[in-house]
Amino acid sequence: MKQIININVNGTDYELAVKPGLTLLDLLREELRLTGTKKGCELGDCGACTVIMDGKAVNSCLVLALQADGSNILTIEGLAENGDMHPIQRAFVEKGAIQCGYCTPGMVMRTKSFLDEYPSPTKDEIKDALSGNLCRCTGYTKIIEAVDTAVEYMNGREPKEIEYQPQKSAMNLAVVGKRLPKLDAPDKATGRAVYTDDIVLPNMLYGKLLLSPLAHAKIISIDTSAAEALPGVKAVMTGKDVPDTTWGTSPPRYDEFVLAKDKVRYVGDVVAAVAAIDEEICKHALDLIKVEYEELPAVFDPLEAMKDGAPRLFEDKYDNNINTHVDHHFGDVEKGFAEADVVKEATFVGNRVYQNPMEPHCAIAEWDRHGKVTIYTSTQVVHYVHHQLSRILDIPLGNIRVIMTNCGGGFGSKAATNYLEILSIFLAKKTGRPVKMRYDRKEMYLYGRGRHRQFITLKMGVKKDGTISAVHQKAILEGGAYSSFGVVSTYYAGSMLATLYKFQNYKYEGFRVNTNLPPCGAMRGHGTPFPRFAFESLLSMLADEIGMDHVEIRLKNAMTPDYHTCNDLDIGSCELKACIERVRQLSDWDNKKGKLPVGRGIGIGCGGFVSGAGYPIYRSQFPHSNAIIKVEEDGSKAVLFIGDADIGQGSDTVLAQAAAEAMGITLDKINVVSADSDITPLGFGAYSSRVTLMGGNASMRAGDEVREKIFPVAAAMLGATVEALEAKNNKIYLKEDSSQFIAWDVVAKEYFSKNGPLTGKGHYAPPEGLGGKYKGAAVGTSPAYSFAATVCAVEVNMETGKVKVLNFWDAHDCGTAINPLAVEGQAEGAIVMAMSEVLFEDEVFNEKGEMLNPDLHNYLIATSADMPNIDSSVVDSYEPAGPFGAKEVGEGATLPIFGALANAIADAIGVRIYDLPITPKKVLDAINSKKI
Amino acid sequence: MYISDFKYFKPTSLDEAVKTLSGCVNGTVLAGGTDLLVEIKNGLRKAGEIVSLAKVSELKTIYVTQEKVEIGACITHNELIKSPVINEFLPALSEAASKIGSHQIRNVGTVGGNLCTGASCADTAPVLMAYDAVVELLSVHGVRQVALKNFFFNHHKTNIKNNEIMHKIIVPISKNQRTATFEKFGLREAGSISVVSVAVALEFNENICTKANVVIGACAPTPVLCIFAGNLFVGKNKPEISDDELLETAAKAAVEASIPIDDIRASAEYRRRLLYVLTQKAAAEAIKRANVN
Repeated sequence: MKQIININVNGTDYELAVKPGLTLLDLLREELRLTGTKKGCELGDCGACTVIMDGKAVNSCLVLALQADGSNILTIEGLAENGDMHPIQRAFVEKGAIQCGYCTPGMVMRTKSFLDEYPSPTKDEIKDALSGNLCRCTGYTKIIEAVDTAVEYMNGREPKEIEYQPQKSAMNLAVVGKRLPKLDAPDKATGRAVYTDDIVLPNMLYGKLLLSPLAHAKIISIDTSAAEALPGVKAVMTGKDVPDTTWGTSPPRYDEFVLAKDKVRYVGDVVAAVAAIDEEICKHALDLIKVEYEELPAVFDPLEAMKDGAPRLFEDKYDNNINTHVDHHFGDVEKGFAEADVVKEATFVGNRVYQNPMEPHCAIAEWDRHGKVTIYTSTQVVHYVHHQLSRILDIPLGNIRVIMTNCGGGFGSKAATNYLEILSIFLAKKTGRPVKMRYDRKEMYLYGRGRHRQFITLKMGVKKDGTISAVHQKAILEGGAYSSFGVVSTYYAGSMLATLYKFQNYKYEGFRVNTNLPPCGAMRGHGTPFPRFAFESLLSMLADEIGMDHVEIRLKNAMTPDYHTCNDLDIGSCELKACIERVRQLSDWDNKKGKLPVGRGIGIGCGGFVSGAGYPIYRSQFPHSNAIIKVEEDGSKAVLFIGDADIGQGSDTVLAQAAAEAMGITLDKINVVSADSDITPLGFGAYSSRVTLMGGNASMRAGDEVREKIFPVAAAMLGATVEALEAKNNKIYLKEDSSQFIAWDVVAKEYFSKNGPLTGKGHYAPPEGLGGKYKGAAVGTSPAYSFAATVCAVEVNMETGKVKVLNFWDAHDCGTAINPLAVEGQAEGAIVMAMSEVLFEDEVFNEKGEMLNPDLHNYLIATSADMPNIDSSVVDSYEPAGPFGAKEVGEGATLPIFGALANAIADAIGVRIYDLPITPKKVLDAINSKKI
Repeated sequence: MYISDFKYFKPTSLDEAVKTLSGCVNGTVLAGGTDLLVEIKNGLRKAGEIVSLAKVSELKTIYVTQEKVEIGACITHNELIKSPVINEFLPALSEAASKIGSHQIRNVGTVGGNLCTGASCADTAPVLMAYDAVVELLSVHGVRQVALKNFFFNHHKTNIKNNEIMHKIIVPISKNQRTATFEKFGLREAGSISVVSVAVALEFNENICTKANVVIGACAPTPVLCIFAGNLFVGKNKPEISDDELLETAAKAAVEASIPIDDIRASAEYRRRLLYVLTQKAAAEAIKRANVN
């Protein structure tokens, strides 16, 4: 029965009748519609729901609304006074402390309560104070800086300006190359940014999924009658109610049903869907669905699954559960090994990790009366969702509108269509009402699509001078139950080893094996981090064997510009050597390597990635990124319409910078509308680190077209020729004499008055014919490649095995950094995420295939207290294929970390650990193994 | 996630609270809720009635006399950390509290709740046991006191009955010099459950150790008072107990007293090794503090 509470929220008194079980979080979000407070884990582990209750920061998910009776609550919405941002919010915006923004409200509120109590904290106190608020994007670095800055503001001081030396390639640019706050940051800082779960449509229902409790079973029968009879239930659907179409991510491996048809293949497989008037009734209904299973033997270890006679997940395909097999041989490895002075082989194991974006997946579907469905979703890839839904529903793209709301992080977990998107549509169709579906944290893990566990046997030969003569990699990827991105992951695991160092002889054997566990997919660095971990580890081991410095062996083999790799990838710009030299110098490598006491270590690793996949996920001739710019009739602003998705990485801002630079206007003169299939032109979205280069080129070209259209008008107004003009900072002027100018908006208005709408469009497709002719040659192709080097310093407790990471020094070749502030944010975030993967993260399953740590309590990710010192920078570089010389950084920045950290630990303890995560126990075992 | 309906009571005195609880069919006491609500949300627990202690002021005081410190069961972890009384008389309790969960959790979670949840990894338990704490339990049938070392029966099973409320934790103040320490090993720097924890409390009279409590956490179904380990210190003077070999022997005794399990955080074997290291560290630190004072 409901009870009355009196509560003051942000200065307003409320008298409310609440259900006893209602949490303060749900009271704020669902009853008061104050959706700035975010729901991340619901169990008090992530801090996204932090509000201030009677002066104290609390997790509102662990406070009953009834407990809050009589209290004063301050939420993110109440922080800005008179419309002005609070100094903390301002600092978070200015310092780049906000990426996806999902942790931001909680982080800001915790900062508020902390600074109220401790007005002048030290950096360590800040790190400790914020350690209950998890962030997956920023690596906490800029958040700590922002808190420092907020302290300055709140004490009436102006914070010190950061001195930033622009890259050579950005010297003469006005907007590109500037450290500018993200356009969406103020909305995210104030709780105004709308994420999918913040939306409530009139007459909306909620949907939930029934997940398989068994790892492998035949479905004998499903009885839904009791669930359907439950009051409040509006629809129950099972496999018989949905088409037989299979779906997935990679066209050769569409192997998932919308709902299980005949069998379930892992604990978490989707069996049925329910729509009801609220989530609680959904869950009761799920309990009432009776499924009779015939349990089948299951297999969880890929090495077991490959053996003859192992239980088969698919009877009709994937012999020996081998879902993908790659066999590549470039050059002649036998000859290469014969030429080597030292050959070494080792087996490395990469762990099963999950992206854990702070925002859980959510989708809302609504059909209109003309056969058109609109879906709001937290996705990285509007177009691929659009395409896949069109296939499954068998209706044209034009009858589906996919709207990406703000997205609270992805890292690959939202890079394909998911069950919520599909089933909210089916349930909405069946009920004639909008349906919202969301995962809780456990359901996110079970939906899966995280990094594949990998068993990598790597053999490498080097000559005495350090030259790599041959590389042979055998990789076994544990795929989980379905294919997802797995075909591509398997190819990437092989192809990307060849982009960093020059070698001619390379053999790669890749196997992706199905197991009865949640499907694995694409996660930051897609398929590549573990092979890179193995390679960087083995390279350092070989250097030791031949008595060469770890930096020197990398410089010896480092990639150089305009190189054609052994597997037919074309490297364009490349400043890997500059990156290595930079980190060598920053870290004082030469004075540290080999000179540190026991327990202290230093290690180097390199990395790099594609700047966008050279080919689309399904075959099409469409340009990969497309942009339209529309200028307001008075010339006051331009609006950039772009299909690519800002998932927090800041692409809306970066693409606006590229467009603004091309047009000659400043960033405040441009608005961005992105990722809405009805409004924005096709864009493949945020995956394979493609948006800066591809979306950037499309945006720049659309801007070029606008400029080209208005220059004749300006020329006439200035009495000059078009060739004599230049546009910058909202002015069009004579190149020779900038005092002769005319305001940009005046020219734009004049153009519109004479010609109608002032628009520009641009598109980008990668060069045709990228890559070789062999099977799988497409994977790894790209218009450009990024490069990075990292040095890591650690301290190891020799008694407990615990590793403390002290420093990361890293340098990136990302071409021209369009927005250096965003680039730093990507690098810092990638560093801490990868560090967290190496030290903490691991999905653990029991013998029944049930996940034992599907939460943020037992699956640990790094907190602010774990954060090392990070010194990240970019080197001078210019990529001709990129907009203003730009290429990627977001994924490439992840890659050096695994090897650098593993090498540093090996240096500290004198023994190498081959399997991730490198837990204190493994470290201690290794130390003890050396003693014997 | 959702919480099923329940009857909610909000008594304003301890007397009313125990009466309300005794009238419940399937009643649960709600203190901070940081464990209880997680268990309910995870479906591990169902509550027909919830008796909130939020308005029971008797549970929220810290009271000190010459003989003892009395800590109300609903004192939050952050209140322990900030309490001048706790910092003066029971500093190791403040240290232990500061290592629990996150700041947000510590603002809400209570010391009584930490004990009543009965987890062997509870961070306030070893140190309070080391301090010889006694808990006072109240029901309509009366008051009883239980030494904390006898309070824990098994993992999540304690001496408290369904109709009882923990009123306070009573910690005697020793006339002798007393120093204590708490060491915890978690897998990351913050917000982590204890993989192993050790509390050591030593008392000295005229330089001679008169009492030594070594308590280990997360190494058995309950926190364990390692009597043999403690006894090794008793009767020895400060220089004698600073001896490395003695510390190693005590650490071995602590390991002997443990019954660790393999779980998601660590193997039993690794726990034993950690325990060996942490016991020495905790004891050495307690001795160091004794030498300073």
